[in-house]
Amino acid sequence: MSRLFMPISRQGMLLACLLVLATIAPATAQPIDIGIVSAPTRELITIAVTPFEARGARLNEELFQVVIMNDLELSGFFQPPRNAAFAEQTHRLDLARNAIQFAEWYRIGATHLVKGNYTVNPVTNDIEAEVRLYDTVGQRSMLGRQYTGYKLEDARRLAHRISNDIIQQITGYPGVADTRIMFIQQSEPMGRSKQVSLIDADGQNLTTLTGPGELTATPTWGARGTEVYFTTYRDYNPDLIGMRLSDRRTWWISRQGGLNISPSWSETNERIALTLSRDGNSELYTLGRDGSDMQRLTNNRSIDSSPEWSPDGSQLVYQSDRTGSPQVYIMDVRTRQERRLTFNGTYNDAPSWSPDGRWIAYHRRSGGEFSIYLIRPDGTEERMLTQGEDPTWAPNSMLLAFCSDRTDTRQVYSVFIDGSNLRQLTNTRFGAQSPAWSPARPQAD
Amino acid sequence: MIRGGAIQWLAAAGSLGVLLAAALTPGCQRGAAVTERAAPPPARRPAARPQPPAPTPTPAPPAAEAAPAGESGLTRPANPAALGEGARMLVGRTFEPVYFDEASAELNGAARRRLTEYARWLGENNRVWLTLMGHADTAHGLDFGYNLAMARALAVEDFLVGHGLARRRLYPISFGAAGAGSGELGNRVELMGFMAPAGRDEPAEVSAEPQSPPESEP
Repeated sequence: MSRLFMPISRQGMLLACLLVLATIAPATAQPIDIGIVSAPTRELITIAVTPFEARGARLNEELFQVVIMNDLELSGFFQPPRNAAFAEQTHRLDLARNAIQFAEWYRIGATHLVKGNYTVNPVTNDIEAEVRLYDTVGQRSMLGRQYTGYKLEDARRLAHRISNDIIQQITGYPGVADTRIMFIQQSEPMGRSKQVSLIDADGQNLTTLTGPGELTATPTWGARGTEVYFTTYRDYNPDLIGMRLSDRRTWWISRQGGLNISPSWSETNERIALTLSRDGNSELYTLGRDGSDMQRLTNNRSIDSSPEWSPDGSQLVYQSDRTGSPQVYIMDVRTRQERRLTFNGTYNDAPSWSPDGRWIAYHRRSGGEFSIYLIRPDGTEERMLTQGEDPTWAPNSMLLAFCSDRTDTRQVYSVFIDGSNLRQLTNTRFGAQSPAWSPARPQAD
Repeated sequence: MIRGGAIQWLAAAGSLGVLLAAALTPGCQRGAAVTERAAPPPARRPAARPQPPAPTPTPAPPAAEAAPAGESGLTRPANPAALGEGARMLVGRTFEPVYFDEASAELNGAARRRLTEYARWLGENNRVWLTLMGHADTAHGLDFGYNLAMARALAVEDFLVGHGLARRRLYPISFGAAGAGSGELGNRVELMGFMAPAGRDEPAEVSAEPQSPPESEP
C-alpha cells in the first residue's frame, strides 16, 4: 500500500502544515507543454536527491539516491545540480540545522529537492520508505508519501516507483521508470543464437526469457503486459509463440508454413496483428492470442509487414513495398481502407504508433544509414529524431527506445521525443536489436 | 564459392544451433507436434513475387478473407532439417548458394543457371529433400529483411518446381538478416540437402495448429 502521511518532528510543524496543504491539493500537475523544440533550447528542471536516511540496516551504494536521480535524468525532464560538491554541502547543512535550507538549495540551482528515509525489517525482509518532494522556490512540500509492501529484493523497483511519483507530480506526465524493455540479445557472433531478453527502463536487471542456442525474433508485449509474443525457430520454422511472464509457460500462437513474425497486440481488440507468408507472400493478418479466428487484411503481390495497432485499435500502421520500395501505410481495420503515410525518402519501415496516438515513429534508410523519424498520423510534421532503427515508444509517449550500431555493436538506446537525452541502455557483447517497450506496469502494492 | 558452404552456414547462421536448441530446450514441443499422418496434397503457392509494378498509391482494399484457422488437422510439412546432420551427410554433396541483387527477390541469370544445374541433379537424385534458407543483407531493416529473405526462398522454390521438382521436397524458410553478413554474401539463398528416410516419399506433416494459452493474468 502507498499512502500519504503526516510528517513528524524532523521537519517541524511548518513543514507539516505545508504537507497537509500539499495532500489536499490536486495530486496531478498539468503536463508541462514541452512542444517539440530543438534540444539545446529546452530547459531541464534541476532537482537534487539527497541520500535516503537508513533507519536500521543500510542498503549498498545509496541505492535510492542513485536509482532515483538516474531515473529522473533518463526521463528527459530533469538534471542534477551542476555542482555535486555544493549539493553534498547543502545536504550536510540541512542535517546540521535540522531544517531544509531552501534558499541554499535554490542558490546552487536546485528548484526541487527530494528527501527520504527507509526501513528494512531484517526478519521479514520488508522494506518501507518515506519520501518528501519540495519546491525550493516556493519553499513548500509538493509530495509526501509512504511506501510499504515491498521486499528487499524489490528495492530497485520501489525506487523506480518513487521516481514515477516525482515525475508525475512535477511534470504531469506519468513516469516510466518501472517499465521494462524487451529486446533480442545476440548471444553468439553471427546470429547463431538470439535470446529474448528484458531490462528495466534504466538498462539494469538484464534477464533472458529463452534458452541458449535458440533463435528468436520480433518480440512484442501481450495481454496487460503480463505476456509476451515472439517468433522462435525452435520447431525449424519462424513460428509465433506466447509466453506468460509469471511462470514462463509457453504456447504456440501461429505455426503456419513460412513466416509468422512481427506481432502487435491490441488490448482493445484483444487481437494480434502479424505478418504471415502462408500463401507464398507476406501479408497482414489478425488473430486471437490463442491463434483463433484468423483474418487476412491485405492481399497483393508485394510485401506487407510490420503491423502495429493504433492505441484505440481502430487502425494499423504497417510497411508495404507495393510502390517498389518500403513505405509506411495506415489501414482502417474495419473498412480495410488504406492510405500511404510517407512520401519522402525511398525506404521507410518499422512504424510504431505512440501510445497517446499523436505520433508515428519509423526508420528511414538513406545513404546506407538508418535514422528514426517522427510523423503525425495525418502525414504532417515529419522530422528526423536521431540515427537508429526499430523505434518503440515508452508508455508515456515522451521517450523512445531504438537500436543503433553507432558504437561497435548494435545496442538499445533511449531518446527523448525532441531528440535530446540520448542514453545507451544495453551493453551486450554481441549486440541487441528489436526493442519493445512494455506498457505501464501494474503497481506492485 | 565456398566448398562446404552448407557447413559454414550451419555454423554461422543458426541451423545447427536451431537443431541443437530444439533437442535441448526444455519444454520444446517439437516431439509432441510431429505426426505421421498421411500428407494432404501440397498446397500450391503463388508464383514468385515479381518486382512491384508502377506506383499505385492507394489500391482498392481487398475484402476480408474468411478465417482459415481453427480448422482441425492444420498441418505443414516438416522442415527436412529436422532429419539432422546424418541425413545431410548422406547426400554426399553440397550446394553453392544462389545470390540475389540488392533488394531483389528476382532470380538473376547466374542464379537461374545454377538452379537449373541443381534441378537436373535433384531430378536424378529424388531421395534428396531440400531446405531453402533465405537471407537478406544487413543493409535492410530487420523486419523487412525477414520478408525479403522469405521472398527469395520462395523464388528458388518456384523455380525448382517449375523445373520438375515436387514441391513437397522443398522447404523454404527465412532467416532474414540473422547472421547474413553484408553485400552479396547476405543476399542469398542457401540450399541444404537431406537424404529422405528409407521408405518415405515425402516429409512428415507437423501440426501447425495453435495451442490453448494459459489463463490471461489481470
